Amino acid sequence: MQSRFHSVDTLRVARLHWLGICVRVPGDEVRHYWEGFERPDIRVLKAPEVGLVMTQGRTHGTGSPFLFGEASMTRCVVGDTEGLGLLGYGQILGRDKGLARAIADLDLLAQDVELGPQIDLWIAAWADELQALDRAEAERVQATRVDFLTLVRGED
Amino acid sequence: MVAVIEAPEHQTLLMQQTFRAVLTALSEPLRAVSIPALPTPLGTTSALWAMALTLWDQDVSVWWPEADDDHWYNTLFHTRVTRAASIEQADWVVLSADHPETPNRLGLVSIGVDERPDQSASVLLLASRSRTHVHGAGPGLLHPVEVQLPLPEAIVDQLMLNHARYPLGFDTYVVFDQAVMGLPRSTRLTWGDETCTSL
Repeated sequence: MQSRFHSVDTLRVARLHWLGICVRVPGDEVRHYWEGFERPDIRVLKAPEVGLVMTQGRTHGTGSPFLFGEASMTRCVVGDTEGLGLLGYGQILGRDKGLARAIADLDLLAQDVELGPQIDLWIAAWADELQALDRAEAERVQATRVDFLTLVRGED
Repeated sequence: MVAVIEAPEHQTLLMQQTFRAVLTALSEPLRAVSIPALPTPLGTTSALWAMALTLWDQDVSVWWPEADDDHWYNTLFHTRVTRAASIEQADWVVLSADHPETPNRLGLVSIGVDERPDQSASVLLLASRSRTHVHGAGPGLLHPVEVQLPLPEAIVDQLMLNHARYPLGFDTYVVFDQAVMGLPRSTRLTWGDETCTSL
């Protein structure tokens, strides 16, 4: 393996993009692509484990945040076998250990010079699908949108 | 490049066993309690690494002057602790009993304040090759005990001073390769009849 990122900052930006997409794509879709992919040996540094995270909520846009409740999450960390210090992280809501592992592998291999471009193609396709879904949802909401108008009551 | 080691298999179970062992060590001072063995970064003992994985998290700061880059990288990766800027500010301090600076450093460890003695630091002392003959008494010891403590005299001196400031003071764990001995601030140490300087 060889990293295609020359600085931590560029890796962080790219990673935010692909991980943000991976965790929204249905797990079966990620697994389907992942199982058919020929990948090199990978070290599991932290095997998938289930834990809890506290979620926050607000009553409205300007309301104070409050602790909404706990949600289960699964995380996994993998690394390269060649001692390059490359790491892959998979953190998802829910208890799907296989999916957390697949996303961690994907996060690691997306950094590789050779395998990264192939994974970029999947990410781009998933991003298009998610964008289409977001657009359809926005249109559905727009159709039933009501704009409330407050008239001046004229006491003054 | 720094080598990250794998988290141990069945980590949750191992850390629960370690936590139980540490509680036992503190509640029964001056008795070595076994800690489960696990793979460790180079140069760290199994018991020290098990305690680090069990007791440290992102809410605590650690001062560990003898840790090299490898130790720190693995510690930060697996526990997310913060590195304390100075020994006075640290929640946890790791010291080697055989290091000549250790007695002086113990004098700088946080002992809490009158209103909050519980905010003091905890000290992990890596066991020495020398032994000091002491008597111990206090909570958790039904009768006074007599032990060969694996610490040099200068450190025992500091631990006696630490007890004299009770309820202020730090709690100490003497860490062996695969065991830990608790020495809470409530344990009163007095000199034994003889001192031997080797095993």
